[in-house]
Amino acid sequence: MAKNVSAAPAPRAGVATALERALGLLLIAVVAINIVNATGRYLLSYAFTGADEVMVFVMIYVVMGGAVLSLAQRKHININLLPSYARGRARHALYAIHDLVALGASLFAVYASWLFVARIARLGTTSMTLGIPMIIPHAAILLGFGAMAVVALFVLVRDIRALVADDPTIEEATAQAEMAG
Amino acid sequence: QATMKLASATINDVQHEWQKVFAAELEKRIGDKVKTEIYPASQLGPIPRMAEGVLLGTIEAFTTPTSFMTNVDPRFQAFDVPGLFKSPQDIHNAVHDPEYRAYMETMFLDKGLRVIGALYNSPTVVFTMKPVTKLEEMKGLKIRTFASPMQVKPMELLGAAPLPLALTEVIPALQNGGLDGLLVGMPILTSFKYYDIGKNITDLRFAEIVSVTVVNEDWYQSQPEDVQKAISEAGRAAEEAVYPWGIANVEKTYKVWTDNGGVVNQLSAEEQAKMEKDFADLSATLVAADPSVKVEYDKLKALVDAKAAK
Amino acid sequence: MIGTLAILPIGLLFLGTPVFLVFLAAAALTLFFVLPMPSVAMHQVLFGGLDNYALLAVPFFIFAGELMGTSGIAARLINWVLALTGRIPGSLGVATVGASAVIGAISGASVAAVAALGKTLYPKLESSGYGKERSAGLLASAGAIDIVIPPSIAMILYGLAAEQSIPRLFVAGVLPGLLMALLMALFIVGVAIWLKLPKADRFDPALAWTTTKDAVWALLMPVMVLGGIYNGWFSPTEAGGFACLYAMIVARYVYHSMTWSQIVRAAANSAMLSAQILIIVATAGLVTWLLTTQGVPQAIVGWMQSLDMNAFTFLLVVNIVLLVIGCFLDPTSAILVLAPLLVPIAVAVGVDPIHFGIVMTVNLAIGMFTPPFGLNIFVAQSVTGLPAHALYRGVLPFVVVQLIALMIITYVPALSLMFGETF
Ligand code: NA
Ligand code: NA
Repeated sequence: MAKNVSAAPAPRAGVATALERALGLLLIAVVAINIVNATGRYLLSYAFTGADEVMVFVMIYVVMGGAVLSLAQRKHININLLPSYARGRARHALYAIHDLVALGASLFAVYASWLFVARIARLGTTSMTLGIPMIIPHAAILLGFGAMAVVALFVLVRDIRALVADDPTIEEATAQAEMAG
Repeated sequence: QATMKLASATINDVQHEWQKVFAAELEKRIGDKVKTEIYPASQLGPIPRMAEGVLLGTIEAFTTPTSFMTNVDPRFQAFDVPGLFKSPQDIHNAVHDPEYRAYMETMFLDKGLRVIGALYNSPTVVFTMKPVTKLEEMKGLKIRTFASPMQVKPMELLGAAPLPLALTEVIPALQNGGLDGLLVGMPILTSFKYYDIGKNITDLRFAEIVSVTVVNEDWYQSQPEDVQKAISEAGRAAEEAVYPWGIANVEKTYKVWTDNGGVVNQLSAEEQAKMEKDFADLSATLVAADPSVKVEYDKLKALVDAKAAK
Repeated sequence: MIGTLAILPIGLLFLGTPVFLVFLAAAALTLFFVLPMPSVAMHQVLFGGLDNYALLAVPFFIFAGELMGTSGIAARLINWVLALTGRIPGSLGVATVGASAVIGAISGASVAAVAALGKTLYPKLESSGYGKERSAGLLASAGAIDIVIPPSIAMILYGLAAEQSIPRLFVAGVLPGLLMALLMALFIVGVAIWLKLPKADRFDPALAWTTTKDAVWALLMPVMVLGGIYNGWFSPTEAGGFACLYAMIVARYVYHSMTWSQIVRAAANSAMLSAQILIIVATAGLVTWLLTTQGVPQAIVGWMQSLDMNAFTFLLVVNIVLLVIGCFLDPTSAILVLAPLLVPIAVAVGVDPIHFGIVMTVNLAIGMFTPPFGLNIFVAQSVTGLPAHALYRGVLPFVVVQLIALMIITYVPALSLMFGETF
């Protein structure tokens, strides 16, 4: 995959790095829970019941958060045959298509997820072990796709402007990033 | 033509059998007005997702042990209280009592679920890597249970360490000693050939598993009246037809178990009585924890005892 | 439905749309325009795809791999292997296959193995003259061995869906897994000889000693992780977490090669890559779910049944069908859906169900790296930065090698069944 960084100005890249580090800290927390749980079980025959649930629910947030950040930075895994050969306006047009798909699909996912989350909130179901309200893990999907829709709209506008202007600075920035990646 | 997806987590067991008979009974009544599709073996997702699916209407019907529905509605716990049902007949008597049956079918309507089937599944036994013939030997064993207090608390009472492990982790954990045993329905042990891992079960017989089939009430209400009636009737008819099949199936699994070198351990009569008494006390505290469960449990208990007395 | 679930996705994939968006869009259009199915199904199935304990192995092993790469643990292990085996042509390539088999014995997370080994071994393979495409192809395909060598999540799911003994499946997977590794190793040695890759001209005991000393802590890592699993200290999934802990301690306090800030940075990279992989797993599950509820796998199996085959042709047809399916679906959902449908036919034509489970598992393992869709390809793409078509070229020779292994495994049932008598 091409490690394209968007031509984002420095402050925006700083925010992305901070958010990525937050996801990293969550992953370390999950590793820590895993170790405490397994050690407690083996050495003390004491199971911290519900550790599984906490780890999985946190990871769902990490996945959705990471997916949002990857969308913003064009880091998602794709079959990059065509984009790697496309130059100039053709590449901007391809990017605009990707953004459009992202926007449409995310909006539908938000709609489907909203229907689900609203009902699960009314029904008040809880998790099997810890009795955590299931709206908490489920909301990760709604929030994640909500954020993806916002990000998609933002990059769509940016890429369409680049397409119209045929802006060579954006072209250069992406090409350089690709060389580096 | 409406489609009715019937999902369950297991295959070729009494739940699957009920779904097949139900489909045939339904067709007998209304022909092809409803097309039934049976998805066994978690083909439509793991148990919590199937439970949510029937709540939300992505799956029309879900057949499952009651213990997997307690997070949808705690009142399902009432069926799992240790010592409530002492035999398959107790279950059969209760769910076919006309008055209780009518009540049970509609008791979860506030959650958008209608019960269309309730049947005896199997006894719960303890599978262990080392033989357990005395309660003392349960102490310190790591036993896989469901996350339900109805399984966790009895194991804690015996001094074992209950672990609600993911199903995919169970067999590797048994093989490497990370787990010493599991609480499990008897047919599961033979269908997954647990005799290749260990040879011992202890037949505590402290609970009989009840399976229910719930349908999404919105979907049910969207059907014409004759279809609704046929679904309810087919559910009851399937239960009657499958009940002897289920009992024979459980007997067969005990035989398969011993034919493959498995051993069925029993507690001494004295210890069995002591355990049952301790569990009875525990049950009282467990049901008291949730007034809505207690109401349902008391109602069931009175019914079971009255029928057993006859 | 063919339009929304096949033609449109292939078009979007070709245009370079992110893979998860292709699946998501296909499912959205199908739910919106084609099927009388509540839209909430999308959320429910996506969530179900992620709410899966076994998937924790993916971030764990990716993080462990990232730590090993950044801290120098991996480099010391590579130097040690090369010091001991440098005279054998293709030793680094063989070491890659061997490392994959070891990770296979720890876990069944194929993508995590590709990510972990990719980060640590790809630069070295490339600089040793194996070529970018071939190195990436080797990494993507070696990961598939993990699914066949026990413990294997695919086999556990087969056991559950087809009601077969999981311990027997595990035992049956050992030789086929080793055969796959052996054929790949032979192929790599052949390539190294053909390319005349440089090798050490003599065994240097002094070098062997210093690299061994250097690698002691690194060598203890697989020992600890494997030992922990086989002593029952932790489960295969949990082992990933312990691998992270071990690597963190060695990196921070033994080698002093990473600061806490760098460790958090490594965790952040791992979280991002895990997210990019797992969002594909979840959305692929969504498409599989739609196909299943529309009866597509059932129709394929029905067609196979109508052919009225003997065991030999049945296995051949199964292999072809599964390889095609494996080009598009992920192995775990394919097994859950297809095993209950196919096993009765297999038994009817006289194929042993344990052997059949191994055939299915090997098939779907190969599907992980057959173009166009294969998680291992995507991960190798992401780790190496190579474009997709380079990866496709890179994996092709290994697809051929593993297909030969598959044919042997399919038509020599004894390979899978000879140790089954231990029960
Ligand atoms: Na494995
Ligand atoms: Na593939």
